[in-house]
Amino acid sequence: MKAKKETVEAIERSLFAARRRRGPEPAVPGEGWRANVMAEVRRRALMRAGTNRETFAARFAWRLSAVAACVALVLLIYAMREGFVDYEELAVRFLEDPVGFLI
Amino acid sequence: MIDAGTVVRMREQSAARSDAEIVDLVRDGDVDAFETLVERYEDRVFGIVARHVPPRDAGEVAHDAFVRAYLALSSYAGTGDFAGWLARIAVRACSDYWRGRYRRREREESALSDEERRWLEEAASDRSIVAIERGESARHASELLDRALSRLSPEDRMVIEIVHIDERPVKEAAAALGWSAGNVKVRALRARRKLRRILGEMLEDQGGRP
Repeated sequence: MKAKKETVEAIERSLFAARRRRGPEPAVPGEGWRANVMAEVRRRALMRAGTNRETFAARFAWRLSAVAACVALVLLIYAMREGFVDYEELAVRFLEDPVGFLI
Repeated sequence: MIDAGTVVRMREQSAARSDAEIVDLVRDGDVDAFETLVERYEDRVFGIVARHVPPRDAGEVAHDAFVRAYLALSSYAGTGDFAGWLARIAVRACSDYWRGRYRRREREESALSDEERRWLEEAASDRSIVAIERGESARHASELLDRALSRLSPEDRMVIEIVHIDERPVKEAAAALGWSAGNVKVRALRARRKLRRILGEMLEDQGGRP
């Protein structure tokens, strides 16, 4: 049997009215509740600070890696132009000892 | 080490500041200043939450609302009404509470209790509405309403509670829900239709019982 529209509306009105008459709202939890809220807020603040530091470190590392890549590229170009040299030859060039007197 | 007297003085100083000033302090890293906002608005937030979630969970949802507010402080412009901004967060926390419960399938799908069935019979048989809205009967009615509301989506539930049960103006409901006024009107109407269909089904099921 299909419920009458008027009956459903009357029930809805009563339900709403009953909800409005529901007893007093429960009291606000006291200091303990507030202390718990603040403990979590402080914990989140610490986590956030940690995340910020990690983000900063990650950003720094990425910048450093870009610089390292540029240096590697410059060295590669230099090496290709000059040809690959062994460490003794490099040392000679750095020590400005073209005759190989010292090494 | 900070002594108790200093803590009291710091609290008094914080209490004298405006909301925007405290928000600035918290943003600048003074997390403890947030306690003044919690103290200032806990009654209000708790009042909102207690109207929309079961009393046993109100503390947890209010707690969640304040933590969310702290995390979202960077999005608070500082020019508007802080209480209104916080109220929107509290309403959203209630909505998410119901979403979480639905996800965990804690919907009230069991059969009606004897008291709820009796209440429905009395309401359907044109007995005095005033009598069934009072006392112990009001509790059964409230449970019955919760059962019907639990079959709606969290958004529909919230819009019914704010617009039709709390009878808040559309503008206020729009601010609390973060929707446009037009959207609130349309959704409130649709949600009410859905609720009536659910109540009709409950009544029909009742009619079919021995």
